[in-house]
Amino acid sequence: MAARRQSGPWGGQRAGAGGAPVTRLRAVDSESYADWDAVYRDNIGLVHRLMFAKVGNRPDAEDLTTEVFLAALRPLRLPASVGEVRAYLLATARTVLARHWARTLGHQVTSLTEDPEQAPAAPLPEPTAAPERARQILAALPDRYRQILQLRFLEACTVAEAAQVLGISVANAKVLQHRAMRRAADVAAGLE
Amino acid sequence: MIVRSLTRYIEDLIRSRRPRRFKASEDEAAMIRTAITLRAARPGSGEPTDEFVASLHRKLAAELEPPPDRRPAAARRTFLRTAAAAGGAAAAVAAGAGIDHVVSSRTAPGPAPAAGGTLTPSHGTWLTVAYSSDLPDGAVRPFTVGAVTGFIERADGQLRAVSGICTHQGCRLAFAARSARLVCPCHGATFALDGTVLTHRLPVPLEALPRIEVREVGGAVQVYAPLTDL
Repeated sequence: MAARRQSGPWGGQRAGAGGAPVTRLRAVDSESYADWDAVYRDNIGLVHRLMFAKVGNRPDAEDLTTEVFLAALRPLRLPASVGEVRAYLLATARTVLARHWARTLGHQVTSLTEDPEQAPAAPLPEPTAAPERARQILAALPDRYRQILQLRFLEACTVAEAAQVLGISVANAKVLQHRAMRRAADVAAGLE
Repeated sequence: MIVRSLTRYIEDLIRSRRPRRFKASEDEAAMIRTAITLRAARPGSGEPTDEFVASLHRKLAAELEPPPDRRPAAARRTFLRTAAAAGGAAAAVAAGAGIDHVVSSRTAPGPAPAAGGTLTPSHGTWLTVAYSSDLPDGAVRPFTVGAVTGFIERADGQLRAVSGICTHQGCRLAFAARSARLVCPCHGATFALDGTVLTHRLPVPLEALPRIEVREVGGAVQVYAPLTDL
């Protein structure tokens, strides 16, 4: 699989198979991309969702998404198949994300794991695992811990709003949230 | 003990601000990993904004397209027009307004009005959506009647109803009982039960939800909604 990726549109051999006319072909089916614009439109949502699931905030997700497209599109030889392009975007995203964590927290907090079984034509992994994983973590917590985390992370409440809903002081809400986070991290480690 | 850098990092995640880097311990990295999982599960939060998609497209066009023979400006205009038309059309469906009106108001500069107003169908009638006994004080119920989907609430003896469709792109809102707010599954906007906007991360102004007239007659709760048999 890895060999096929490397000999894809970035290996430099593709344009030789018939010369210039190949690049003049417009993609008429959904299996290949004719130009960078098509690559961008079809994958911007996927790459952004993937990055958001790995960093959890919009400014970083936007920066990393930008980095992926700036790095990946220039060396891309088009037309290329959807599978090849996505495998390349994913490989680029993996490197960009690893660099982000090395430079910000000094730990690989999250990663895009390489799946050797993944076929080149497989789509980018949709980060649908996040809601299911979050559900599992929350379900394993005591009621008060689950409530504060749901209010803050899922329902976008401020600390003050969450404190009011739970009928406790703001200071107590902060402490409750911190303890809940600590317990949630233990639960998450147990799920791995 | 609460560690300040960690607390601030997690607070930034919750509020979708850029978190500040710090030298994290293993334990702190594990808590941040969990916080990211929880934050990413907020409905719709991973979707890129239209503004970001358009601005990165501009940046890439400038990087990748040779200026003389290809004209990035033209491609960009087409792209923006497509995006605006898609957003506008969805908003038009949501508001039940004419598409022409919504597209033109989106194109025109200036903020959109903040008030959602009250739903006033041209040919409306009172339609029953619940029995009074099903709506005790403090209760909130979703309803769908004909063309209208919304939420009805009885608070301090007063009835009120609002539209249950997000004013951004027309997604159906969900009711979060604990915080008593309506949450959009598409981009995470939240609304109060009186229709006002509480939070959103959209690059465009978001209108309040239209209110819906509601009354109680002989043990039935009714809303004023359009007749669907035209």
